[in-house]
Amino acid sequence: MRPLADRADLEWEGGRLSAPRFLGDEEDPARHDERAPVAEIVLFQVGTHVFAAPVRDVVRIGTVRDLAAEDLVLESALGAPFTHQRGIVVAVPGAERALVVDQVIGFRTVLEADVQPLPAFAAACIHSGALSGLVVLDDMPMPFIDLPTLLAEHAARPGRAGAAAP
Amino acid sequence: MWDPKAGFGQRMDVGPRAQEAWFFCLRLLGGRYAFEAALVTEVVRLGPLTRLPAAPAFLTGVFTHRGEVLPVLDIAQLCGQGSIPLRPSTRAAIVHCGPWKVAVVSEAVEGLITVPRRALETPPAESTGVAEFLSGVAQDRLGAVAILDMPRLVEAARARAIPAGASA
Repeated sequence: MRPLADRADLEWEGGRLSAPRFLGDEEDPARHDERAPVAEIVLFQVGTHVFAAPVRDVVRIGTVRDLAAEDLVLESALGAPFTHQRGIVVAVPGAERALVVDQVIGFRTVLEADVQPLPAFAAACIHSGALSGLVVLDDMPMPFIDLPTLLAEHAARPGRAGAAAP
Repeated sequence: MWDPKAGFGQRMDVGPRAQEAWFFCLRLLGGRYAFEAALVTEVVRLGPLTRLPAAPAFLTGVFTHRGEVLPVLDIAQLCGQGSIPLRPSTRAAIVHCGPWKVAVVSEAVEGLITVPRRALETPPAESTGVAEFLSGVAQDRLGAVAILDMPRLVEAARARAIPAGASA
């Protein structure tokens, strides 16, 4: 996984993501075919696992202490973070929720072809819409998460306030 | 007749009139389990596994093999009999069952075996654990071997997948 060129790449500028740059991009400016569709993804870690999600689903990223406690989602289908460092803020119907993660590793621009559906057997066995596919980075598949669906499914879990009756 | 150059997926004389039946044998749960050899396309060493959120326990993860992402099935987990320990040396058989392609993880791979058809016996009448998926039992020169109905096992795994959040 390529390291970020600058920690500032993790931050948002005026509500928009600053252009993500990675070490090595300068040496290989034509890494992608310019005509090929690309997707911007954010990589983050929860516990020991690394996940990817589309940047378009992220409203902002902040430190947990700067986020409203009632908006924090401390545990989800992705697991529980070891430390409560960062929150990935996502818009859900009528509100914003922050998925608490151990760290935001960085951003990457990938070819849309690198985002694959789940293998058929895995898709048939997993009934969560939050796992929308896999991103293959450096020959390693990484779960590609639909953040709004993840948080909506979390909110709808039985036993949670406001959860719909089955 | 088995042709080693043609790989595991070749069609063999395994029809009901053949004298011998070909199976692919794995060591699982401390025993020898075999299934129809033609279902196996290759044996691979497991690469680093990526675990999937909201996956049932028997679906231990996915890995890439020659650019293809393959799901890994743990029969021990499916049968509620622990789990196969995953080590760098762990190998899996890539199995095609109808629309499903899975890597069946094992404690060890024995490979192809032949069993005289007349030696195949009906399995014990148990309906728990792995016995539920047996189609027969037999003896060969290495001892007892249980014959798995792999398509039924894979289909049962799919059907048993617990919806996400049901156990939370």
